[in-house]
This record gives sequence, structure tokens and C-alpha cells, in this order.
Amino acid sequence: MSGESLIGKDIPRIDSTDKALGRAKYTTDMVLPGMLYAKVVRSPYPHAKILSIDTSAAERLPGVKAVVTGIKDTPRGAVFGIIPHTTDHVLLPYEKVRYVGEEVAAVAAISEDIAEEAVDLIKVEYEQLPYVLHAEDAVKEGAPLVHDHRKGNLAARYLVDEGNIEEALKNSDYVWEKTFTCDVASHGLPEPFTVIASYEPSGKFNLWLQTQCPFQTRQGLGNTLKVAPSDIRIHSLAMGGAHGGRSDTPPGAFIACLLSRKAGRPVQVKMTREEVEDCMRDKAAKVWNIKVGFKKDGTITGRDIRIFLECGAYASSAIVELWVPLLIDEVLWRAPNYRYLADLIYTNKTISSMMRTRAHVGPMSMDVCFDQVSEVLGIDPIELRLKNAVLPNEVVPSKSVVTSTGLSESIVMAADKSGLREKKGNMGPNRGIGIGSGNMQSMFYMGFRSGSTSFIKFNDDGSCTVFTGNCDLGQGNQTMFLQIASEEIGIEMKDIKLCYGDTELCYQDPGNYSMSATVVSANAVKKAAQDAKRHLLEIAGDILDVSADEVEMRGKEFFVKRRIGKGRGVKIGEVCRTAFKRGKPIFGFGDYRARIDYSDFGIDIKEPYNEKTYGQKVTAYSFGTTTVELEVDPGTGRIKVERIVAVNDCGTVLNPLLVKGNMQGHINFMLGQGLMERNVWDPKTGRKLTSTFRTYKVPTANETPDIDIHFLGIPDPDGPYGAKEGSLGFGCGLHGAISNAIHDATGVWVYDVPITPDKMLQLLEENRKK
Amino acid sequence: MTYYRRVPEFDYLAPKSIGEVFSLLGRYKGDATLFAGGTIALHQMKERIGARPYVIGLKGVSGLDALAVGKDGVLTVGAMVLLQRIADSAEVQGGWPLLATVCRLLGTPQIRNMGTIGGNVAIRFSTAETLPALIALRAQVRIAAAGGETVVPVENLYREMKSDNLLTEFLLPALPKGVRMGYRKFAVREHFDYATVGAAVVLDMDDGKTCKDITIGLGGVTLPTMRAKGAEEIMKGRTVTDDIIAKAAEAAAEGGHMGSDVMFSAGYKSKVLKTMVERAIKEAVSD
Repeated sequence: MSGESLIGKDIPRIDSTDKALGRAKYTTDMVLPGMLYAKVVRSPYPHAKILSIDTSAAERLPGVKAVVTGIKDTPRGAVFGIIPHTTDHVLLPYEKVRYVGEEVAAVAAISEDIAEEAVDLIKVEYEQLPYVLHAEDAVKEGAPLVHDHRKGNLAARYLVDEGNIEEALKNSDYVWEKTFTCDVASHGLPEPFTVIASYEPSGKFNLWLQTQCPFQTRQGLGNTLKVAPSDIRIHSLAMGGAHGGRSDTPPGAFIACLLSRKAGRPVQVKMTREEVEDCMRDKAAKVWNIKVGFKKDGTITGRDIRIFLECGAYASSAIVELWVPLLIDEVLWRAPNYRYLADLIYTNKTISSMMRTRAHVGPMSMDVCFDQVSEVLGIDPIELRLKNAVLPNEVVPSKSVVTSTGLSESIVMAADKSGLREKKGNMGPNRGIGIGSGNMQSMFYMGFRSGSTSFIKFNDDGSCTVFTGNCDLGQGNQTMFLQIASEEIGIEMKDIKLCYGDTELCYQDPGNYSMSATVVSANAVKKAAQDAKRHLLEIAGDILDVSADEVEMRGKEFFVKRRIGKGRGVKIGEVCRTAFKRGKPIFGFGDYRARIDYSDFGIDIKEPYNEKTYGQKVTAYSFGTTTVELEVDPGTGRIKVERIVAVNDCGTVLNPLLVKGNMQGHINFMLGQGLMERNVWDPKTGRKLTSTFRTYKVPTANETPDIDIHFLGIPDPDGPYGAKEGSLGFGCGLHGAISNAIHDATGVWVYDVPITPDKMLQLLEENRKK
Repeated sequence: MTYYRRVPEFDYLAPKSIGEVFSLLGRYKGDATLFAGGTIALHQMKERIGARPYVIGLKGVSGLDALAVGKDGVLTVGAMVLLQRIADSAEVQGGWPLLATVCRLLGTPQIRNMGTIGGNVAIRFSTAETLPALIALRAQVRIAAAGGETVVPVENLYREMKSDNLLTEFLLPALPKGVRMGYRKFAVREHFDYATVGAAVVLDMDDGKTCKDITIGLGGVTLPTMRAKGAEEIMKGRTVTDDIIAKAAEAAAEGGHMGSDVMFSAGYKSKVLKTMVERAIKEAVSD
């Protein structure tokens, strides 16, 4: 290496060519010798007791090698949930089913066709129970209980109450109040869920599946199978999308393990599109009530948030829906008095869980608030935002410190680059511009998983392999890890191999769960690379007969600093071989623990829960602002987004090419959820009607507007080289920007997403009547 | 609970002539299904809609892939002509640009290179996007049956076509010189999406002001209401103004019958259909 830094350089993803040419290997491509194919019997009812299951005919069908049912095969008391309070999900139930599509039994056979035939031969007797599909009905007196012991279908409640919000609102010069809502949204993952489990007689399970966080999945499977997590090995492959939708312990993996153990052969469970949409995870529908108090000068006196979230059938991992919106909402805008009270409500629907855009209604509500209140108070809307925007080192209501933020700078830059002030109100009929800000966490508290450990081993040819428990969802983590290892060690990326997401070979890692890959996992890789470099310099120094600090690496060779250009150097391969001969091969070890001072966050949630919610919950926050220019079709209500300016406060930009790609993807994801993606359930059957891409419309590349990206480049004190989360936070305000742009275009305010054409047309018609 | 499944097992039969098609249909009675491009049929088979043990592939049947203008000026489009080929054809673009436009906006390149015009029509969905254009262009279709063949206007196909009939070709009459056309479709996505509703218009104007003749085909409505005759009558012989166009569009939307679907209510679709008709006529006027 010439010594030129790789940080901030455009580096193409190492896997992009293989993916573009269709050569990358995904879990769906894998076949193991002797592998069986499984199919799952699923509940046709949204809520029913399982009375009996007759599998005898299926078991007699030639080619069927194993049949499992919850009644016979699920270990009793083994329930999935990411915190003790929400261990409510039996992955193959034996008493009750709680949504249409829930797993009831499964077969493994020598072909998919035989497995499908066998599934039809399994007879399940149910006793149907009354069901409830929407949170507003589920909280009503006398509503059917999804879980008998959860009164009012309240799965969990979360409260942060700082200062005196009632008093603050009473003493405010102006109080703004609104209700925002959003529908259930799907991840729309292109690669259908697939798992292969292979049970070895020694008692070990090998699994290949798409998971964002191999170690959490391993833990969840260990808990539910009642085996030691170390008896489970998870392998990671290329992944066709994740977006939060692959962070759970999926029933399919549990079922594959049961079947493989029973059949003594590898078993594949591969879902169809409809199964993925009905039986994996969704984003919760939300009702977001908000009150904001202002002084005459525009200073916020307090914010009062009351929200209801649809949990779906199980709170197991839906619980994150309760607290992650807080981690966004409490951070953006200063509020000396603040209350956040959130209820998670059970319904007989697909389970809610992690999704990258889950908190969009929160930022949206505030951006609409600023635009509306600016007119009431006669203050410029940008000035109003800047007056209340969080500043570096400020403490948020629940006592996390915001160590770095460029929120104000991002607002100013987005307004400037888009020409917001000049364009607003002047874009012609049905065209408008709007602005919205957002933020995101880089690593929130996850107990002992809030840290990552990496190591690097050198080979005798001078190349090395980096080991990390993190994996790559397609956002480019592999490239980032190699880039950082190369930067620190000084050998080229092509001479560095990567072993990732293998729970047997790698150390514990949070996975891609709380936007932690950059701040936590990459920091660990960086430290491991620094450690390996130290060892290289020591051995090279020994060979050159000088101390390590007198040695410098140039290309693949080590030289004595003061004799560079004169004497001979020693090649890296020789250094490695010398280390082997001495019985101390070159090795690097790195561990990074997130800066989090908060021991009880979410771990012991109660109802209501308002103790112990204070402390440093998040290591770093990313911020950003987007502006949207759009046109509303007055004849159809369809919204066409034409141009977006995005300003990203993601700290130091490690690899602009990669971050820009992620940002474009995120914008498309947000546009889909903001404008077209909508889930519908049949009230008569409880079944989801939008289980295919024919009815659940997602945007394609054609819908991508002109996107103008800018970076602030304000380094974060904790992130590697000052980097933090770079793909999500900047765009979390996009729905607010859309809403404000619609108002600029039409005079209509929108409080509900997605803003589908039919809803928009109705709002336009109501407005015309006024 | 049935979920989308694998394509069920079937025997693929590959006849070489129309005669062979009918002898196979006769032999397997209700157990055989016709298969053109397969872009819709494969989905249906996975969903167990009309899945049968025998599939008669039409790919190798001779005489179904003509795309030519005859001496009488009539355009013949064989039922098995690929949608992309129609979109790309210089002759279609020149004489019947409406049909080329509709085919160009349908699906994706992959779908257009598998899907055929005959398949698109024969499936007889209200969302079949070539139907409104064929109706507006006053196309005829040749229907072959075991006992012979008939030629009927495409707009009557819904009542003329029986099961075990085979569409063999479409006949598009030459259009009067100076005729104008317009097409609008509404879908959630501008590209790569089914039309929720659509409107195809062929307009002949006298002196650039008066509507001499007009045909309007509607998409997304029930098959018998695809031709907007009421709207045509409002336009014919009248001076074309924004007002008269709006009236015609309103009549078209009223005449087109449709139900609610998973995404949109019938009420919304009707409003959008009116907008599409209005815009398609205006596009034709300024064509």
C-alpha cells in the first residue's frame, strides 16, 4: 500500500459482481445430500383451540420421513420471547392458534410434491374462537382475549415521564394537538424465507438460514428446543433482503430442527410468497396522539405522546415496537417536559416486529407540527425547527447523552440545496415541496450482546482472515470490514478473507439488530486489525533486529524506518512463517463494548413500567433531513415524487459509494411505505388479502426519483474513524416531508400513511367542498 | 388453508396444427387446458385455478404467429404473437399506434417476451390490457372450434367464445386517414403493474373540430361494458369541447361496471376511470 487512506474512498462492494451475475449463493440455492423437503400445516382460523391432530395418513404416505405436531413434539414450557415479559410465543403451538397461517404441524418428505400431498392428509380439529383484528376493537370491554392472562389485550406498556407535562401544557402560549396513524406494512423481502437444518447424532444442529443476528437466533432456538445454544451452529450466506424482518427466531427454523432430529436427515423449510407475507413478521399499525406546547417565541415547553401499537398475535419480539419509537422521538426535538406512554395491543394477526421504518409517524408528526405552528406563531418554519433541534452533548428526556449531532446543519443544508424557501408556494398547481428530519440509533442496549469481538488470523502466505459474528444483509458490511482491516493492517483488501456470521467459528456479536454493525462490530474489527498489525511489526522487528516501533510497512514488506530505500526489507509471508516457527502465529484480537450505561432497559418490563427507564440507552445517534418535491394528480390522487435532497449526518463517511446506495434503497423503501404499501385483512375470515406482490405493491427502480445526496461529515466520538449508522436516520423524516409537500401542493394536510391515491383523492374532494 | 403452491404435475402436449389441437381437446375432454405464453396460466395453476392434468402448448402450432398487413389494408395479428413484437413492429406503430402503445406499457420486458396477445385476450380478465385497445380499434377475432370457425368483433367475444374454442388471429381494419388515438391507464405503479382501470380511444374528427366518429374501450370494467357506447353517442356529431369531453367521460364511467378489489373501492375506480377517459379523449384530440 502506498499509505493512502481508504477511509472516505468509493469502494465497490466485494459481492456486487456475483450478485449482478446471479452467481451469489443464497440459502434458497443450497441443497445438502439426502436433504428432505418440509411443508407446514397452517391454521385456517385467526383464533381457535387445537383439539386434535391426526397425522396417521400422512405418516403412511410413501416418501414421508417425519411428521411433527406441537402436541407431540414441542418441548413444554419452551417459549420464545426476546425479554422475559414477552415469552409468549410457542413456535409450534399445541393449545391455541392465534392468527391465520400459524404453524400447526409439519412433514418432511423426499420431495416437495410428496410433502405437499402429505400436508393435505393431516386432519386438524379446531374449536373456533371469537377473534379481533384491530387494536381499537381489541381494547374494548368484552373483546376476545388473544392471551387469556393479558387483560384488555394489553401486551405491554412503556412510560417515560419527565418533568411535569400537564403543568407545562397548561402554561404554554399555544398547544398543538393531532392524531397520526399508519397501516401495517410488510418487509417485502425478495428472497423467501428458507432454512436448512441438519441434525448430527452427536446432538448438534447445523443451520443455514437468513438471519440478521445469528447469535440471537441461536439463543432463541436453544431456548425453544431446550438444547444448549452451543449445540446449534448457524451459518450465514448471501441474503435477499432483511429490513428487520429477519431478526427473530422463526418458527420455520424450529420446525426444521424438530423434523431433522426426527428423520435423521437434513431438512429444508422454504416458504412461498404468501407464507412469507402471512406468517413471518410485519410492522405494527400505530395510532400516534401528540400534544406539543409552545411559548410565543417558538420554544417547545413540553411534548405529550400517547400511542397504541398493534402487536399481532405475539409480543415475543413485537415488544421492540414499544421502545424504539421513543429512542427516535425523544431525541430530535428538545422538550423540558416530556411524556411517552405506549401500549402494545394484541390482535389476531401476523406478528409485528422489527422494521427499518417503524418510527416514521413520530418524526412525521413533528414536521407537520412545525409547519402548522409556524403559521400560528408567525415564525419561519426553518427557524422554528432550529430553535428546538437537539444540540451536541444535550441530554434527552430518558437521560441518554447525544454525543454528536448535525441535525441543525442538516436542516439548513437541505433547505439551501433544495431551494426550499424560494420554491415553497411557487411550484405551480398541484406541485409542492416539503422538509422533514429524522434520526436513528447506532446500537441500543441489548444486554451482554451490546458488544462484539473479532479476531484475525494470518496465513503462512501473508494473507489473513477476519472473523466476525456480524453478517451482511446486503448493506455491504463485508466490504466495510475488509476495508477497515486493510486500512489498519496495510495489506490490500484482496489479500484479506472474511469469515462472518458463523456462530461456531466467530465470537458473540449483536448482529444487524440495532444499527450496530458500524459502531460496534466494525470497531471490534478495527481493534483486531490494530492488534494483528502490532504482532506483525514485532516479529518483523525481530527479524530486522530493531524494535517494533522502528519498523514500517511498505506494500507487502517491512523495512527499518531510517533505512527505507537503502537496505532490504522482510516480506510479510516471511514474517508470518517466522511467527509460526516460533509457535506464536500472527493473530489479532479486538473487542468493542458499546458505551451504554443502562442495565435494565426493557429487560424487566411491567405494566405500567416507569421505573429504571433512565440512562444511556444508545451509543450514537445519526440524523439527517430530506426535502421532497412532488406532484399530486388531481384526477386520480396519485402522488409522483420528483426530486429528493437528502442530507446525511452519519459521522465520517467510510465509503460514500456504499452509503449512497444504502440511502437510495432506504428512500425507495420509505416511498413505498409512504405512498403505496398497504395490508388488508378480510374481516370475515381474518385472513390477510395482500399476501402477494400483485396486491401488496412495492416500488420498483422505476419509482426512484431524482436523488441529490449530501454528507455533513461531522465525526462521532465513538464510531470507527468517527462513523455511525448511515442508511436510515437521515430518511426517517421523509414522510413528514411528503406530508408538508402535499400541503404546499394542494392545501391539504395528511395525517395518515400510506397516502394511497384513493385516500388522497378523497382528501382533495373534501377540501374542494370546503 | 391452501397457500400458493408448486405447479401441479401435468403432461405437456405439443400439437403442430390447429387440427391437432382440437383432436387433443376432444381426446382429453375437460382434462386439458390451452397454454399460450403462460404468464397468467402458470400463476393460476399454482393457485389450483383451472389446473388440469394435460396442458396443450400452442407454441408449436403453425399459422398462429402472423403479423402482417394485407392488400386490403387489414392488419392480421396471430394469437401467438408476442406482446413485445407488437410493441416493436414498425407497421403496428405506423397504422395502429394505439395497439403498440398498449403492448409497450403492459407488464415488464420479461412478461412481454413471454406473453401473447391471444393469451391476454383469451384469459378474459377485466384487466386484460389489450382488450380496450382492440375494441376501440374495432378489431375482429377469428375463433376456431372443433366444427369450424367464426369471425366476430372483439367486443362480442365475451359472449361468443366458448370453452374449448381457440383464438387464432385478430383482424384490425385500416383506419381512416387522420384518425387520432389516445390511451391512458391507471395503476399503482406507472410501470410493471396491472391497469386498475384504463381507456383507449380512436377518434375521427371533421375539420379538426367536430367528432365524426369515436370508439372508446374501457379497461378494468366487466367484459360486457368494455365498449363505452353511451359516451360515444354523446361525442358523435358534436363539436369537441372540454365540456362535452367531461360529459362523455362521466357517461363512460357510469356505464363501465366494476367491483371493489383488495386495493380500491368501486367508487374510487369509477372516479379514476372518468379521469382516464377524459385524458384519453384529450390525448386523441391533440394527437
